[in-house]
Amino acid sequence: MKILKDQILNALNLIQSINTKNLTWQAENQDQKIKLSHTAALAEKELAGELAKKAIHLKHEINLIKTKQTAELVMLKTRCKKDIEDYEHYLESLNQLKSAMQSRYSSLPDAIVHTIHHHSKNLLNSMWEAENPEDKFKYELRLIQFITIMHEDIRLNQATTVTDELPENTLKLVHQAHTSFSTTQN
Amino acid sequence: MIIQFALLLFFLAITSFVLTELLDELMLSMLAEYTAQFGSVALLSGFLVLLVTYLILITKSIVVALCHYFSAQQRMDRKLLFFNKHIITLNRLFYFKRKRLLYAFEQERKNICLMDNDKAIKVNPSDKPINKSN
Repeated sequence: MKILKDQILNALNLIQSINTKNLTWQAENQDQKIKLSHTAALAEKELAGELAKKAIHLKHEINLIKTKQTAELVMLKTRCKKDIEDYEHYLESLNQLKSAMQSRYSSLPDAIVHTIHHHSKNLLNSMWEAENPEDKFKYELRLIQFITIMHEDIRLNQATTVTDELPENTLKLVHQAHTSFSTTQN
Repeated sequence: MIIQFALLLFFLAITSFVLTELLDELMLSMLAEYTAQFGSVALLSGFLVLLVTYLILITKSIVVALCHYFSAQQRMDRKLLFFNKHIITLNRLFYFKRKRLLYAFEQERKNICLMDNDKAIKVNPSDKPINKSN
């Protein structure tokens, strides 16, 4: 009984000493605790200010991005409409060349006229559908060369009185194009 | 503190059950009945105290979590995350809007080409059928 009582008393003393130590430590470090809580409050306020500034900056950035993107889309739409108009002009001019060829070379079979017209349209579509600028430029040069040769043939035919001739240079160019195409295929 | 109180109640319950047994041995059945009842009440009270403490703690942590969620700091953090996500969404949307625009105009160009082909077939004076070129 006495041993049990002593053990219980020892346990109680231990608990009390732990509590006393804890209170002493808290009393000694009171100032540091206050300082820490002050610093924490200041840092929190500073962080809140920084976050508010960032929010304003991001809002402004969003408005800028919206404006820029709207302007870019409008410009793209205008450019595409212009491209479509240019394409229509190109088609119109190719049709005019075809009509001119049909009227100058009256004995020329329709199939050949259509082949020439078809070739020029193919060049035009290839130029329009080319994805990188180098291919676009290449097809553009070929189209310009083809139209020039066609126009030259029509002009030369107008200068002469013979009407049974063929547009030799144009047909040569078409044949060259087909040959080079079949070579690349092989 | 609450756990100490609950443990005390359990200890009381066990003591009263032991006392019940002793009283029963000593043929004091009325007292034994009272002590048994007291022991049951003490045991159930101990469990009830623990359960109520648990419920109170859960409710407290839910309220604290809600307070943190609606605090200025977290609201600001969510606002910033929303703005960042909005910028990413705008950029993605712009990419698809641009693609859609280019696709629409490409289709328009192809339609113009087909209409031109049809026009060429219709104005062709020859009676022979012509194969559509494009």
